[in-house]
Amino acid sequence: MDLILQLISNVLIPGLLFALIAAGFSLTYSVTRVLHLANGGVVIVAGYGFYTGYSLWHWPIWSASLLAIAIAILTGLFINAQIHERMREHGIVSAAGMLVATISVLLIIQNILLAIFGSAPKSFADLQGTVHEFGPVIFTDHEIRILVLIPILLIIFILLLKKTKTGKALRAVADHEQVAEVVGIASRKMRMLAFGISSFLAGIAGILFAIEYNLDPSMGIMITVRMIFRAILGGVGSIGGAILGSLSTETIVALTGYYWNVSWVDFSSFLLTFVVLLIRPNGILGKKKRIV
Amino acid sequence: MKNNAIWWIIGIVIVVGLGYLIFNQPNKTNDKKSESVATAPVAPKVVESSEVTIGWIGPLTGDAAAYGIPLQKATMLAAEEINAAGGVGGKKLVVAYEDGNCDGKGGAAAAQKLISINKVQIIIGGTCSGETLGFTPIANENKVVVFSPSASSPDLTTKGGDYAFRFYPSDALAGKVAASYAMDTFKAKKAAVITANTDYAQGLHRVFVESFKNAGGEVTVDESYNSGTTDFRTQALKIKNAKVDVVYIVVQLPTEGIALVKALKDQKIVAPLLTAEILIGREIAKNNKDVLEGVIGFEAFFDEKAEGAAKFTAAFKAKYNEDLAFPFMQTIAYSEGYLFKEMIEKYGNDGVKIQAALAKLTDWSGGGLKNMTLDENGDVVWKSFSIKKITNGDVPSIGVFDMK
Amino acid sequence: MIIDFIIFLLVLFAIYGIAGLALNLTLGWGGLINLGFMGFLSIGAYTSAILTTEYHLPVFVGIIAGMILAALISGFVGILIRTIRGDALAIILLGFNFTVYAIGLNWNSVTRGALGIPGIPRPEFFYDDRRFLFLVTILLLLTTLFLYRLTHSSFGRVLGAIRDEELHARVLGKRMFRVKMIVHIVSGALAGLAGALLAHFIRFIDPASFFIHQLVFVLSMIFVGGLASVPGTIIGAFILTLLPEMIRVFVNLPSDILGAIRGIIFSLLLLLVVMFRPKGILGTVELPSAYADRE
Repeated sequence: MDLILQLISNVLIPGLLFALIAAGFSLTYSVTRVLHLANGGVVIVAGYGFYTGYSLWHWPIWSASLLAIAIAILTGLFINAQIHERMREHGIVSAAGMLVATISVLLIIQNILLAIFGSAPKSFADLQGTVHEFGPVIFTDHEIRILVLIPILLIIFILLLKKTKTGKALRAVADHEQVAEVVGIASRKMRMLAFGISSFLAGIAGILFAIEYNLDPSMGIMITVRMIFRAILGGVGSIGGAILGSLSTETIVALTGYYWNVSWVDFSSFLLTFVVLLIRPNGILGKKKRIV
Repeated sequence: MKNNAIWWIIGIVIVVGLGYLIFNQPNKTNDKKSESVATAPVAPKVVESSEVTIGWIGPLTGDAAAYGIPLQKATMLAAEEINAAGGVGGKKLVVAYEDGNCDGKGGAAAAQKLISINKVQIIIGGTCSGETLGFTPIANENKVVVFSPSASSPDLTTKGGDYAFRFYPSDALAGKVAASYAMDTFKAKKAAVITANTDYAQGLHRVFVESFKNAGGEVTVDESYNSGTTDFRTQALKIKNAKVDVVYIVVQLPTEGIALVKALKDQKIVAPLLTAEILIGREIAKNNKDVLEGVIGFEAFFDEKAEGAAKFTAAFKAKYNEDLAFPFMQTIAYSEGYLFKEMIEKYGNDGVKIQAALAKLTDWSGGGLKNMTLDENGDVVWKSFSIKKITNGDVPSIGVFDMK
Repeated sequence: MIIDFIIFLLVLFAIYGIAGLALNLTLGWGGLINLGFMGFLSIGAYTSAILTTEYHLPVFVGIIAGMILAALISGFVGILIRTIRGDALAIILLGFNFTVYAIGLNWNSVTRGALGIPGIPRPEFFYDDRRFLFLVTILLLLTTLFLYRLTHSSFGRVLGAIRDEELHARVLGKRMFRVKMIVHIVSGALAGLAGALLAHFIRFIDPASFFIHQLVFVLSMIFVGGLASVPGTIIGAFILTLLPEMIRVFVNLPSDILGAIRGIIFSLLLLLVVMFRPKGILGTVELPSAYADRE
């Protein structure tokens, strides 16, 4: 029993972080059809924003966090406006083209961060807090923050999508863009909103991630890769799917890591994804165009 | 039908042209045949110029830039100092820096460019073993000296060729030291080893596991994690439950190492934590003093307080406002600038002559290094390792280990 | 001496040209986003490397063995994925990439894991750069010719039909499966060839040589050149191979952010091409727009 609790606790920390990132990714995908691979970049941009505010300028945590989130949102909106909207207008850009575009953006972000901040990793040891024991399970102060904040955020987010008018508008665009426009919804604004919200989530995830796992410019790619796998497993375009996908992947990672060997975790999480996709080609909770 | 004919014509023209180009040139040495070939045209030396150019290869982007760039900065400092003092035999020293991307193909492209376009006779680099092994064949064919400040794969000893040298000891040594120490000092019977899945780390891993087993120990947990892994809670849990006497941690990137040690400490593991040299990098120890407190590392014995080294440390801090992240490697990267200044002044910017001189290098001191000797494989002869323990953000030596 | 660098680049261009053609076959004609094809390059490379270094077989045997193994595995993957469509398919194939990477990294006894395989020999007759260039140019030409014939035949028309209107093509039923399998096998063989050639050229490989960065590189190549266009792929390979090297030659600063700056320039240029010439230079195919409602 102890072991199970411990393993569960191991699953929750990265699981929740990636759930947040993947949820944002799913949102943008369903509303805009864009595979926003640069989201991993937005996450680390937020991390570096926090670093600048907190470690370089010695601002208090809250202001540094606001700075980080603001930068994340600006980056996300910039990417949407300058790249995706332009490509939409310009004509037919295939999936391969979009992939190349988003990956290029991600690489540019990483290199800019490398040039500005250098390659040495940044850490926030003092913010991790002390270790607390809850029976067999161990959490640091920061990990408790993650365990509390992220579920709250996710719940608020889902409620937002389900209950508010804006949420419905977003879902309308996700379901069928042309019809939504007919009904008077400005789809362009909705796309911007989707990017904004997803970047907000990515921003928070970025801060939490940086404190928990430290920060260096080349992390963006790994975060992106992990994000897509978890999102696709759960069903791209579904927030619940993003959460489920992240948690299940992390479960397999923990089990493989414990009972077999950590070197095979990527392989087994892929295997899980493969098997699930064979049975449910749209992911666990994926339906073609829904968000929630 | 017409289209087809055009393709055929183009194809034939290209093939014939190439054939002419190729078979009308003097033969280059085949790397399988023995070296005694008469007509090997070598990169023509730059005849008269007010500059001397040498090459430098290392990862300037990507996650390995965490070592590549500090090494680059060290060499840049050396070049600056040398030029301020009059240059190399009166000529300005120019270092052409290339990004090898810590990758075989990147290293090869970088080296080919440096040799063909910058016409270098000497290359300081690569940083990563794979990168270096990607271009040693090209260097050997062109008789260009390669001198790595940090590549540690045992493969470089056997596959690097006559023109490859290094001042950095092969992994084959450091792994043994850690195993012996674990056995002797902690009387360890069971060990857990957790290693990054990279060439450098795996080299150390292999040697440690072999040595530990040969001395009668048992490696009960042997994990290799992939680069980019951020979460180590499960591994820490596994290690805790295995109740080992000692944990040997071999990381490639500091970020992962810090996360790993933190996870181990969170699990309240009391077994001593041994590591190689990345985690005891000074900046890393300083910035993560709480997490890394008590970690014991092994690095090639290097006296940082010795005059040349201390001077370098101070100059580096003055120029870049940062401490040396990897004192030994960076000192090597710095000292190589001085090594080649000496070599070029004595023998000219000539790969063949310098290679011959380096093959006999004994007791060389310069830059921040002292008494460096190279063996017949181009490897540095190294007998002593420092045992260092991270204490309160500092990394003092707690002993010296001499290899028999 | 500059000619040596040019020859080096031309060899890389030819090898990547073959790889690009392999990918283009599945993507541009087959409409299949095969993100896993780096895995086949890796299989071809490792097979040939191991056979020639461990077992001392002649290089040509190694290369052909690499091609065969890659083709077989590609065919096998083709069977596994026959029922999957769309995004799921892309991810599964990407996952194949990861699988090959993980196996290469962990199966230490065979692949030497992260240490890689150094000292891979050059082919017996084509041992120096110029002769190697001759070899790969011939291979590239043969591949080009072969694919050109293949795609301009009735086979090619069926491929085009599958790509453009899969619904209609399904009427062809079993025949479609057979066609797809041929595409998989041929593409796999070519990718294996490219991988093996790369191994024997650079003479060192490790698992990371065939991972994400390379994937992006080759994908960009065929995209820039134009999908479903053989000359387009060649041009794309040419531009993408040369571009970073030209940046390397012309952008020079004694600075510690040199690498980052060159990286930014390269990605930026690529991005601009995507944004302003979305069909690629010689592209004729309109794959469905990524931004429209997708079925």
